[in-house]
Amino acid sequence: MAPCRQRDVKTRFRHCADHDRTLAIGHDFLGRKEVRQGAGFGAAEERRVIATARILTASRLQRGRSAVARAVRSAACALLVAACASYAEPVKNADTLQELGFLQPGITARDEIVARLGTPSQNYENGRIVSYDVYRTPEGRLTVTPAAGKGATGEIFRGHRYTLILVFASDGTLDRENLFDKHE
Amino acid sequence: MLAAVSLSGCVILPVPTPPIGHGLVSEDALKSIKPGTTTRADVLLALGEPTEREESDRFLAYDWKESHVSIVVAVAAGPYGAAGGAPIWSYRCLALEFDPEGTVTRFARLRRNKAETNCLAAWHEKGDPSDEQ
Repeated sequence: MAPCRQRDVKTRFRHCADHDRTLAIGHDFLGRKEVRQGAGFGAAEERRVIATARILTASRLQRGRSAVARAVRSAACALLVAACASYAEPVKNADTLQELGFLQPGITARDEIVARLGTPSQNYENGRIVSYDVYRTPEGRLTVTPAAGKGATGEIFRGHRYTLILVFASDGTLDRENLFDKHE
Repeated sequence: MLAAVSLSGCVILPVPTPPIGHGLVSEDALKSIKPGTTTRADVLLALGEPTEREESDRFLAYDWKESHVSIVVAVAAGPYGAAGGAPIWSYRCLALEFDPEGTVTRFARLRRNKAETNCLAAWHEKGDPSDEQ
């Protein structure tokens, strides 16, 4: 055990010992103090040492608890900020939908759509319902061509992707349409 | 150092969070599905492209994972502390069956095991369409 000096009591917690005036201050895992002293200390000095140890113990414990509380609060806040949910529902952003303005229910014919968008990626009910994969290019416009969604370096562009669902009426004109965020 | 070690501790807390996930099917969307009335087109226009298709689209399914609780782990040593968190995921899916006219005949929202990637297979196996409906 290290030699015990007066400033050890005031400034830090450690076990220390002195042959003549034995003083030991330690803490168990929970931070509860343990003060022992041997011969050489007067009653007044003993009380002062114990009082100092109590104050320092309370202070350290408070700081330790505060650190945990701060850390938990920070993590909880980070989780709340990061927490987000995207639902399977149509895109409502007017600017995005405006880019698909050529799609007019009751007017736009299937042939025109195929001419502009190409072959659908999926079809249902013998083609009455079709879907297209839609990509947002690095320049910010929508395209159905995967190549146009690639970055300048040739890597696959990791920007926003959508699915366009089109339902046709029996006369071959567009009946209903919706655009969805692609969830991967 | 002794003080830091003696005052060190670890806290593990479950923390409720707002829903986290992608492609979640909302309660409102589920309520809008009416067997005998809702068509395949209605479903596709409401929820987008399905993740599973079977038997010429007689069966469709939408898979997603969601979290409502996160685990926060905090560690402190003396005046210093650090914490991190991770969501606890649950895996869900919506399975639907259509008649030859393309109208919903039945549907169910199911809880899946993580490894159980095929929602429709799980649905066929369970056989009860009203598991979580």
